[in-house]
Amino acid sequence: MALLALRNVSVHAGGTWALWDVTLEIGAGEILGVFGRSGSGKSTLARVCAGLQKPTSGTVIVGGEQAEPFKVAAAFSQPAYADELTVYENLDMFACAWGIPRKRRIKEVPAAIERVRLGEYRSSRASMLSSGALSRLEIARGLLADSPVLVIDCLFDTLEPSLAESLWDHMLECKRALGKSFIILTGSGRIAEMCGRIAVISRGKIAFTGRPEDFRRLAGEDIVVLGDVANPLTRTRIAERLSVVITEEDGFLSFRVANGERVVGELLSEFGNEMSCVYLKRPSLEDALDVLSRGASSVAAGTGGKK
Amino acid sequence: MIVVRLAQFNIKRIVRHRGLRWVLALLPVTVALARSLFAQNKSLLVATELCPLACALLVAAALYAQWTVDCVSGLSTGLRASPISRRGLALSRVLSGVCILAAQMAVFAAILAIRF
Repeated sequence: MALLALRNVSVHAGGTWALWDVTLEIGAGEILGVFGRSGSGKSTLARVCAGLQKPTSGTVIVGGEQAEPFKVAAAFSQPAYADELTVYENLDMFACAWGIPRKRRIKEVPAAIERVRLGEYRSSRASMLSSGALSRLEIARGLLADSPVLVIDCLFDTLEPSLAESLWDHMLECKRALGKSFIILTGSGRIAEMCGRIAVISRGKIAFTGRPEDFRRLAGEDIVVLGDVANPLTRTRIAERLSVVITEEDGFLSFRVANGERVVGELLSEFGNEMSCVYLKRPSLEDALDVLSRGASSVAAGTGGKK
Repeated sequence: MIVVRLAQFNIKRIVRHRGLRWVLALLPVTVALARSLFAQNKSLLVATELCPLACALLVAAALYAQWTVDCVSGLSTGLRASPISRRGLALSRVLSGVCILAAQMAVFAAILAIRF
């Protein structure tokens, strides 16, 4: 049963449709990534999920049709904090607004501060924090909330990778132990890939829902680039051995395959001494998003790595 | 109880705000001191009578200014995203205003009670 369901939700704001016919569901213990470019409607979606913006049309069902509705927690890209209060007091105030009893607040607020690595700023006023620290404060505020669903709006995009990983581990723990669900809105393919399921949003519409690897396929297959093949016969042998069409572009030989990593392994073991290097270029989710927005069938692959 | 706790946080915020703190404290203290020092002055007598009203208006203005800033900064959105109702949030602000006004009046009355 879906904990939160959006059915044909459209939002008209500022003379334009910020969301158009959005249908999404998130079940208990799920991490759903909403991946899209800036201005695609992610923040509007976050506000609709959190109940801060009423849809122009469509329905938002919280807690399933039979169950008692609850408030969806949200951490926004614009951090909510009181300048005059310290980091601890800010979180204590929000925990209080969530109706968390004092005994729990005393335990959970310091834990949340440590979790986002703001321990040294615990007694500092929020006005003294950098924008990065404020984003972390906002995440802590979201994690403190006593709700089965938490929406995090683009806050993971700017986090340092080690902190993002440790917070992700905490979310997985919450998901496992408490059945909590998370909706991670992001413009970063790296973050979207960490989610079990993604919904790709483009110009206010959900263009794709499924696994990140399935979405990546939109950008085409992996590209294997061969560097400096000394023997011209090697090219033919590789093409025959792997049943691929090798093309030459700017002096480099390359071919496309579905499973680049496996093929590179085979190449290195069989032809490793006949070439100087092999590059594997894997299309990223951003590439797939490019394809989606252009409506093209294929793009040049993006991130590369030397094998 | 949540409303009372939020009101406490709001009072803390106003008291820690440099500008608001001094404006809210100066008005009753100045009027009460002037009245105590120049007891025969008729204008000061009127000012003393109007001071509670002026203080109430000042507190209301301070709360309104704070609310406007909170709307722009996103704090209001953050609080509205929690289960507490809008009425509860408004009530907490009003309660903090009443407490500040009570404190102002206590200081005002205490200074007036002193005989120089």
